[in-house]
Amino acid sequence: MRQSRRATLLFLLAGLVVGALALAPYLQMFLTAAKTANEVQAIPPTLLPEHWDFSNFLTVWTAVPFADYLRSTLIVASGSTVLVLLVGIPAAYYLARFRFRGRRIYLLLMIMTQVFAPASLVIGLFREYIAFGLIDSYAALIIPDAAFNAAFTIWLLHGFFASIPPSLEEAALIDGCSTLQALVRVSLPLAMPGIVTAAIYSFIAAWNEFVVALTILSTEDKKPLTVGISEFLGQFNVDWPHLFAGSLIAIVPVVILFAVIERYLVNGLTAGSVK
Amino acid sequence: MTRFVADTRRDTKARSPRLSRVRRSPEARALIWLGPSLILILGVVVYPIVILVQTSLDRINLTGLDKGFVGFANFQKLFSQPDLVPVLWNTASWVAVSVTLIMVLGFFVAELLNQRFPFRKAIRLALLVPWAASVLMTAMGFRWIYSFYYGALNPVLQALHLISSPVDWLGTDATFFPSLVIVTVFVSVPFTTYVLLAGLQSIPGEVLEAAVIDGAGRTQVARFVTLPFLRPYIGLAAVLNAIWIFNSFPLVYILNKSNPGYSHDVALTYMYKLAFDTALDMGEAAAMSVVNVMILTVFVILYMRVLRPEDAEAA
Amino acid sequence: MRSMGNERGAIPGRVAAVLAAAVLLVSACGGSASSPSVAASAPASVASSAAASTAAGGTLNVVVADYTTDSDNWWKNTFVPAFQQKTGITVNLQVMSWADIHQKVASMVQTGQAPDILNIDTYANYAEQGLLLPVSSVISPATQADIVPALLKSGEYNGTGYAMPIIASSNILYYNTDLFTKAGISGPPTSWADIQADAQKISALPGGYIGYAMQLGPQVPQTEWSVWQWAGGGDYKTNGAWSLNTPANVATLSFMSDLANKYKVTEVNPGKTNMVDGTWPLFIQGKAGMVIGNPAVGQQIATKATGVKWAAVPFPSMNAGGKGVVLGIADYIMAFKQKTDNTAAVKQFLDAFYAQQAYGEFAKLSTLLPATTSGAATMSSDPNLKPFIDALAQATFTPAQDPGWDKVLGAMKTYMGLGLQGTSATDTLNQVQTAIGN
Repeated sequence: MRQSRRATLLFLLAGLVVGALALAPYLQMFLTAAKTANEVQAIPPTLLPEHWDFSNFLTVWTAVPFADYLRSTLIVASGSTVLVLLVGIPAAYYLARFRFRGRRIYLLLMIMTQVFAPASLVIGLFREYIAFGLIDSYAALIIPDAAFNAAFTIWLLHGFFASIPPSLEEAALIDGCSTLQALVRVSLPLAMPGIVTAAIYSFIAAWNEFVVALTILSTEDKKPLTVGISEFLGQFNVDWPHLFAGSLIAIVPVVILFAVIERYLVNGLTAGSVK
Repeated sequence: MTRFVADTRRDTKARSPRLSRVRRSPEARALIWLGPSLILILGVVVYPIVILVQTSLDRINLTGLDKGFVGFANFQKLFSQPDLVPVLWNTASWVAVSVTLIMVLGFFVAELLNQRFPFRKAIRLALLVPWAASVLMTAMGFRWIYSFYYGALNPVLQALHLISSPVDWLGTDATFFPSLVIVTVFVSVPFTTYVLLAGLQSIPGEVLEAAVIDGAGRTQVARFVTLPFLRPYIGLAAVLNAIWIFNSFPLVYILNKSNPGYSHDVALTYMYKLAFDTALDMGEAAAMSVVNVMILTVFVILYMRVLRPEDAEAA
Repeated sequence: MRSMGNERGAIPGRVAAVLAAAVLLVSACGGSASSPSVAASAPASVASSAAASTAAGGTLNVVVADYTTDSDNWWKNTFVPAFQQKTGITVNLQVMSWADIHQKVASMVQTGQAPDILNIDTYANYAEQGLLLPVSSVISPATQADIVPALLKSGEYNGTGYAMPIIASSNILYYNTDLFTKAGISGPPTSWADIQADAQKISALPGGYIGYAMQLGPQVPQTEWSVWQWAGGGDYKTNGAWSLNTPANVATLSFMSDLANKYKVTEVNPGKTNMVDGTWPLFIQGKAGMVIGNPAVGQQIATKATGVKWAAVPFPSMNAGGKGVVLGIADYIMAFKQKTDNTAAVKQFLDAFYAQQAYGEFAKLSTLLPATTSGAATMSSDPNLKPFIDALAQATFTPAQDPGWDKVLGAMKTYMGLGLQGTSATDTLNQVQTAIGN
């Protein structure tokens, strides 16, 4: 279908409005982060910083234990990503290749993990962790992050494995490989885009997790970025420039990672339901 | 190191054919492959629900000690709270209004991005930002923008002559809910757009062309061609958005942080405050959690009915 | 035991919250004095201290709280090494962050490994269980006499002192002297009628000023409320029972609500405004005429160089001529009973710590207020601290040591602000009282 130049221009204009709206709050965060602690409290507020002060992006590392927060976030996000792949890959593969009784119950459990977010179960998790002595540990964050991302990982990888012809693996089986070896040598490399997508998605979800960390962690240097940054809004002198400098530092990497997997995202979220 | 790796490989190769041929029932094999994920899900999703139910039937003292079974006392206390009904109503209207707006806006943006025009890819990428960024941080950005004294919204609206004097957006009862819905919509539209765009792009070009050749107008194309193709995608996006919004604790937690009372709370923040912030009553909070779990169970059923994942499996 | 909720909720340690503001500010603004220079001057300070006795060794397990990096380093590199050298007593020092000190100490106590000396913000539960040595047996009469009496009294349980205040802070009324002059007000308010009249005059000034910045939002409503409540003749407890909804308190809250809603001399929605991100910035930026605050407000005015000229006085009582009100906050240091008698070593340690020079260094590095008269005399030379140090003598303390306090705090956070937002004072305080009761 051809479209007129006027229509193209109209679409472009609408597109620019959409893009600007999507970025506006983050631009405002950036402008605030570039103000001095004094200017940020000016009444009425200034739109652009009078003195552009990018030092907040550096001083945030010393004003709060930002490096500790970042380290915790990296540990938790990496740990849960590894865990979710370890449990997710075999499950997705098996679901794609074999029929068995109890499959429906398993799928029901998968749906439950998509519906029951940690926020709704946090009291149960909290008391479970107390009972198992996991309070205030990284494991207490890694495990639920992995569990609640398992559904996405398994749906997505299931789709990838299902699209790989079993005949390829059969060749490997005839060569004397076990099912596991056939998976590792033949299907895994082919499903690599899916695995990367699942890994990045899990990583981002864990990176952004808030409520479990807020409830379970008490040690200052174990807190992840989300909790650390939220506490700027609490008992401290509320330091908006540092708060937003820290937030932007935390947001940029996940946006880049998201852009990398952009084309597969919808597959993972819609797999198993829309074909 | 190298030698060790090489040895292992030879070793497994030598013994594997025999091992893989050990006879097991399909269910036993399934347990091996699915077991780890099952353990994870049972431990983190199912067992906490069991604990929630158990906790909701016990009295828990201030220091977290379990003082034993009290039957439905926690539920009686919860249901006698004058705040409970408003909280549930807030939750329902928040989810319903937001999802409706999200679907409408998401549809328009998806239609837009399905057209050809310059910078389309860049705008798609811009939409990723609200989706990828932590909801918590986005909510804090909005909290700042909404601020009565320091926020950017009041001066901008005043400059546009849309308001005559500044408004305390998050502190005024009448403006809190719309302000919350705006942020909810903001963070949800990108995902919705992506899903609906995938739906739009799944419509074969020939079908559309045939419709146009047959003399169908824009609205007719939308009604008889686009919508039927889009229906499963709309159902999916609506259900996932509803679930996601219900669970979106940080949004309300941050935006409602300065308000006393429970009049703007939703199910999850109410539960959280009962447990950790204000009432410090684990038993009652667990009862509220059980109510939340029951609401989410309705979502599970909805999910199954709308999306029928097993049908797709069979396909 | 403090509940998890409270630890995370707002304030890990009462004084810690105060210092958190200060720490962030100091470190955000280009580095604070680091330890080496202090360490160099260290041995002298302890050598000159009162602990001159020569004990024959022994071991002390000491747990102290983290106030600032500088105060942590002072313990580790300055005080403890010098003390060990001087006395031959081995000190096992642990500095714990406020985030987990309650949890860790609780497990130490439960497993029978209570430290000899502990610095924390709660003591009553340990005193109640009979685990603590009385103050009189662990510090010399001279040291005891040096501690500010009001603070010493705040460490009593059932009439016996069990905890010594290690560091303190006070909340009083700041007022912007420039705005007062501009509005033609000659001096600080001495009654509530003055507060109202002064606030009205300031609000009437051109430029959109706020007469009185008030906060009963859900973060720390107790700071504002405690001061007003006591100034209005009420108290949290009457005859041992919580008494939030007394007629005196209803009158107080009504008066506050009138300032906000009838005379409109406060900022917008004071019942939904918090302290550190609400009322304080307004005063620091010179927009508000009066605010309740601790020394951190003055420190922020100095570091942000906003040019606000201020003075601070105890909060005026309802009627002129009454005694001004000061909300005191203290953290404590205490000694645990051990199987083998350790009092001699403990006494040496605490007397050395409270000696004028050593304690003065510690108090200064902590960025808080000293709890001793001699320390106060040294630090009063700082005009920004003087009004707060002077105020400590007449400080009143919240019943924060009461096991029911967390619940009271939760109820106040939930409902108190509503009293400024249209709910009547009676209904608001009844709601608070009911929430405490169940």
